[in-house]
Amino acid sequence: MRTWLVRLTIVTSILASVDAAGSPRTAPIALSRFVSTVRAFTLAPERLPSLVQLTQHCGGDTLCAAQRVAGAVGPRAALMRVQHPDTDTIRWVTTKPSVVRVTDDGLQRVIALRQFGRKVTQELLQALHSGSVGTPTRAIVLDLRCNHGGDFHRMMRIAGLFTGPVAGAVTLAERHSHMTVDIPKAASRVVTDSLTVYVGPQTASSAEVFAILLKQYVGATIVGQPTYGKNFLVRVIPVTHDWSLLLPSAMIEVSGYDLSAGVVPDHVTEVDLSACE
Amino acid sequence: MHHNGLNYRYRCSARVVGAVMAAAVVLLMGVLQPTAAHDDLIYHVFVPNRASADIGVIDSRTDTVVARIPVGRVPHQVVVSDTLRKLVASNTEDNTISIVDLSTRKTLATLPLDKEPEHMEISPMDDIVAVGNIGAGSVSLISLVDHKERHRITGFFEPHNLTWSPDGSLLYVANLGANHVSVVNVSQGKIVNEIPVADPQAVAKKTGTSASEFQGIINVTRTPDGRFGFAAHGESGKMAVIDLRTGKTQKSLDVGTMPWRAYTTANGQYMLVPNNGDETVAVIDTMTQEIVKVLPGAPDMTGVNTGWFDTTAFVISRGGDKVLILDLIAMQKVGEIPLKSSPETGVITPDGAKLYVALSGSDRVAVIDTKQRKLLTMIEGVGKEPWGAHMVGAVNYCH
Repeated sequence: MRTWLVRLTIVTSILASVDAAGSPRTAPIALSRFVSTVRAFTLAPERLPSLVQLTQHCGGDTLCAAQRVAGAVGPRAALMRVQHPDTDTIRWVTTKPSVVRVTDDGLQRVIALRQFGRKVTQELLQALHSGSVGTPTRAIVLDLRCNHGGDFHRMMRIAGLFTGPVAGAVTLAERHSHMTVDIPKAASRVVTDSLTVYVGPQTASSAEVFAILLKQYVGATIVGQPTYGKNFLVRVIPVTHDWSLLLPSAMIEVSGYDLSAGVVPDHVTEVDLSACE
Repeated sequence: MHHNGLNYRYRCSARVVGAVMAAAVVLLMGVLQPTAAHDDLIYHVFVPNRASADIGVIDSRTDTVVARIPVGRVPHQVVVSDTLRKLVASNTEDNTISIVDLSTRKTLATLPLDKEPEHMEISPMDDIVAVGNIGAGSVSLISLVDHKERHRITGFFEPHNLTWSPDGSLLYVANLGANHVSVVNVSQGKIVNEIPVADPQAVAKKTGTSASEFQGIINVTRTPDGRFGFAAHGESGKMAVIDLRTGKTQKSLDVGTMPWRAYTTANGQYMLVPNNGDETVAVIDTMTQEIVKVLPGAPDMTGVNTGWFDTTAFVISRGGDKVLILDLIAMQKVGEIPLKSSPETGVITPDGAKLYVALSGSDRVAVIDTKQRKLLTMIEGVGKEPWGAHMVGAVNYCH
């Protein structure tokens, strides 16, 4: 498994080689850092313009370089305008909720998980345990119908709440190597007699992986409609103050599943998507 | 010099009593006008009040408010040059900074800067203030001698906290929302290096949907000798240990989930890192650069102060409305002090004896005895929405 430090070394060594090569030494620092990061993570380095070409064409304009990189990589790459946080968001006072709805009819608790936000672990634990202090929740339904995916590692962390630690649960197929990703050990473990995952055509990417992991490792039942089918990971590479580049960096593989075709539920049911609007 | 507390205090006692009485009279008259004896400066706690657009001044000998200095709208942080006897407030809403003469408490200059100036740090020579304009992605370098903006440097992401090298030649800028630390050559006024701290965020989501919140890097915390910088990266849970002489990351530590930033003990022995994701506090030995203990934390931790000869850490939990007490000898949590409401950040007096915590939700400042580990008093009338606290000669920080 490639460690973070190894990756950092790659970025640093690319920067060093750029210096050693001579001509790009004149490239602006931000542009050099951007290009070296893209090269370290892209699935298609052969398509990328060189640093020299980018410097000649864009000068010090990193956004211009990012547009050319995005164009070269293809439709899976995209420039994204940065949503700047306010001071309350920075200090965690406000955060986009991950758990948007909890209902409990006495037999089962339905938790609508909309995204994998910064406080997803705390919100999920609160949703699982509120009103049932000291007693395990009997039946849980995780509603992922409106979950479009999001931060991959946060998703893996909350998977650990249900599965416990699992080595090599997911494989990220990168350009030259396959990196296995573990489900990490969570601080606490959710105990339940029955776990159902509710999915639909808007359930995508990290949310699809989450559903599969719960099925594989704790025997969750998946119900609803086939999911969106998105099987690749992107890296969010800062470009300028206002722009980031979403760069495809790995295909996501879970043994026994073809994620590109989406997740097919164990039980197909009608799915109401009005709540997702 | 600031640590020579007791002798200094006795020598000044007559003057102190006089100053306190004078301040009390002024307070009773309801006219908080100002003069501060030169020697009083080291006893003053400066509190930026975001909603009342002023700086509250607390005398730490009496724990009373002795002045309210008007500045611009939404002052986010205050810094003080004791050499020049000038106070600087970043007026985030006005896109300006105020420079105030601390002898007269009159505003000397109000300088227009870039969008949303927030965090500031004064150079080791006390003559330049670096200001991060977080809304514009730029950093301003301002001379406190002639009040001129010497450089406005672009190319940052959301510049958050700023850290000077010990000789003042370099400035390390933490980029919120990004994965690297920018290094500024101060005399040239330009970015000369970018130090990668962590991998870019890994996301798997449907195309066209909004991105999830991303923290990045809050601060580079320098060891007191200036040799190493500790930079936490929120999403990766990594703490990069940067050799500040070479600008290279020499070590990476897994500190916890969503680390906020590192806080140094005054003696430099430990770095304390609140992890807001798993509500723990990692303690790093700066000599071995290893985590020596992970202690219990609390929700939404926004500050750590150490006091009483660095034996005790006080962890401010804004989300929990309390301060946690961590014993750094026994390496365990030993208590909590409830602080309603919304404790933000604090400062410990240079002698390590008292902690002042700004409570933005109740317009008060809490005073904690660091030896007894108890709440001493609540100071009223400091201003509206107090946001932080700053003292000359103390370990200051902003969130």
